[in-house]
Amino acid sequence: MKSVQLHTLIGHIYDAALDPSLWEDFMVAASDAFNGRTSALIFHNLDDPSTSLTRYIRISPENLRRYQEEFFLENDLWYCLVKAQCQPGDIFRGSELITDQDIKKTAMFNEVLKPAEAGYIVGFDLEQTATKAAVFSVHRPIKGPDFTRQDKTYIAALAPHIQRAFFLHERYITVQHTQLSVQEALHQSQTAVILLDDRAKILFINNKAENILQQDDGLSCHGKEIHCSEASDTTTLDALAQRSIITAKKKGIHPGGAMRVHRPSGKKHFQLVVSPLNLRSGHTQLAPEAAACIFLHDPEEEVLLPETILHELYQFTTAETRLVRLLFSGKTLDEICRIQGVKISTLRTQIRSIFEKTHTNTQSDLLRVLSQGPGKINGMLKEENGKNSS
Amino acid sequence: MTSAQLFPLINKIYDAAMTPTLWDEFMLTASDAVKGSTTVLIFHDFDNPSIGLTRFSRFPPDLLKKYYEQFFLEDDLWYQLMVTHCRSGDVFIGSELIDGHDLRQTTMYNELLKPGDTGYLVGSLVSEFSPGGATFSISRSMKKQNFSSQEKQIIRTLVPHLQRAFLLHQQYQLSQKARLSVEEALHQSQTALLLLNDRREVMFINRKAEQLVQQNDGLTCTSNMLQIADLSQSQSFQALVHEVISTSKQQGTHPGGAMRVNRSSGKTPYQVMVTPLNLQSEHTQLAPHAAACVFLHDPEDVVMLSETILHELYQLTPAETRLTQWLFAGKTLSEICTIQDVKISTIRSQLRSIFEKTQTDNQSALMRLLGQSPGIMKRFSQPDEYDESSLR
Repeated sequence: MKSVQLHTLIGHIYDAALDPSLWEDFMVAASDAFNGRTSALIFHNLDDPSTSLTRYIRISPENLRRYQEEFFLENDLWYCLVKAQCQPGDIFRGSELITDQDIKKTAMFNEVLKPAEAGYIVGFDLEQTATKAAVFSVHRPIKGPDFTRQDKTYIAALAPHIQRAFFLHERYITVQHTQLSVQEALHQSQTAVILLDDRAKILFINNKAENILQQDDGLSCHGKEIHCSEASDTTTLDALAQRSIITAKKKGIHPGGAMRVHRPSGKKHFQLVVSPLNLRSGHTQLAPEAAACIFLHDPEEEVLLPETILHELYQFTTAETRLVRLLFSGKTLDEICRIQGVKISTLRTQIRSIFEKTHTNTQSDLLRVLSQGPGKINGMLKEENGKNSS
Repeated sequence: MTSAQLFPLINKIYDAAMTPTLWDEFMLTASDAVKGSTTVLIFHDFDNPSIGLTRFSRFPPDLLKKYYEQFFLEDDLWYQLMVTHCRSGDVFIGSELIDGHDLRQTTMYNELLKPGDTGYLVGSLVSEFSPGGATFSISRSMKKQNFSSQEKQIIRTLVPHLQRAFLLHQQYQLSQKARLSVEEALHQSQTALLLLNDRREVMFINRKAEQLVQQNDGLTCTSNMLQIADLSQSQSFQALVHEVISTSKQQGTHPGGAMRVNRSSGKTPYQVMVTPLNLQSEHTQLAPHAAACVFLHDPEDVVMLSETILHELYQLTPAETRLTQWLFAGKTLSEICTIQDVKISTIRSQLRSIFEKTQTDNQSALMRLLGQSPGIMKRFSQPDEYDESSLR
């Protein structure tokens, strides 16, 4: 192997750090450079298994399955030999740990290595911490020549790069996972949220806000900007956003504010609250892009409380749950009488029981308590709501 | 250049990819490798200016100030020459783009390069993307020899690594910023919320939830786990979370649920609601860690509405605003009469006006409207209690 070849391999390693689907490309190139056959790459992270990586090339699926079922980790011949004979950080050749004669007697050789044209191995098994380890190896059939000492030095040259690539991969994936997780939480929120950057351009819209914008009824999104259908509303919104952004940049103390947005359909106005994001000082080097947060509310939206939640929190009976849900959707007792075809006295009995279970005294108190608590996650239980609407 | 010299340089590039403060170390080493002095690294993403990088090493601060004021980007001679003559990945020696005589005629040479004792340059338009790009260059005094083709070759060897490093930098920073932005929005919410991963560890807790668990009243967050003091409730909670995590992993259909959690103080129990996260299939390879979303509610929490927002949304008078706040805090009309020492008839007429302005018909509808309006509750940064210390 020439140093140019080594340099190319190092390039492959860092390509894979950015895009883990490219590890196979590196392994194929490495295996070819070493005149090898199969190759294995394992990155264990017991702290966070989702960032772990396991890659094998040029091994048949049956062989791989057998290996993983019968010879993984503690049952892996090489793993045991390395554990017993090597120092941490050692690069090893299989033939230094076990003779050809002895290996031919092992179950792993006969059941997996031989059919996979493996037997000679050069590689490393580096334990980085108690919960993290990096393994890389290239294999050749035992009927051909063994790996040389020179091969070992090449593996030694690659090892730190593979480790660094794993480290980069892990850091990147961890941030990305957190990003996707918190975004998902915001998407599932029943509060419509839009995040603006310091130029008042949209950075993020959650699902609920997307639904409101899609109605195109007074509020819409053009490119990366939010517009109101009435020019005066747009002016007010721009001013609110600007003031919030200035506060977020710590160049002002305006707290943001609220407005109502006219709807061409004549429905009740949207409520819109803009507030600056409280950028923490710890992030001076890496300030969040978002500078302002818009909360939207459509007062016309019919709100249903999830049945199970009501039952689980207050042990309402089925009839009581139905009554509470109707009250919460804005119906009066008289209307409910008519809808359900029951006497007002029946409802009054039910509502007394509801008051008792919720420690409230009046209907308005009941709605206050419900809207401050379970009302906050209304609709998040999607399957249940789907069931109700069908 | 031998591998022994090259590898440490490559290592430094990738270390800096995710820790931008380490670029300086790379720049110094690279500059030494080609016997250069001033070294410049610029990365610009015009769509996301805040993740940009501009690093100078071995350049006097006063001249650097001048550079930013007079010769940045469009006014930078080298940048102009590179953009005109080079393609992404090209490596060049300055004299290939402009001859020494012409260079000495330029303002940038006379005002910046000469006083900075540079003029010869070897560099690369590392990557060009729309809109933005990255450049890297090392300069040395024109009193010395120009850069050689061997030295150019060293830079050429580094370019693919710089390209990858900039890509890593860009992707990592964008992800990190998006994450911080959304986390900040969740912190603003007045709904206490936690995200748990599939091993039930807390991976995110917003400020409101943090305040609640710090009450240490039957519900705590210790060693990254949400703990419930009451043993049987703790078991129900674990079971609920278990079911919800299965749903998130698409191995179950439990829609989530709720329970009450007793408090050691004897106050009204907390309400705890757990819902699965709707993991989209596009994330199967990179499944978000979060597998359950936990909402906490303290029924004894006195919720304050923001006066400013009530005024801005409904033009309520100060008296009407006060009345609305008392009602939302759970007081009855007669209690409010006593507290405020006013006649019930006054309160009633105020209430009628509130109904009219909020387009509601009765107290129940008013409570429902207020409870559902996001952003209407007082927050940390609301006018009434805005913390001026955060400006410092």
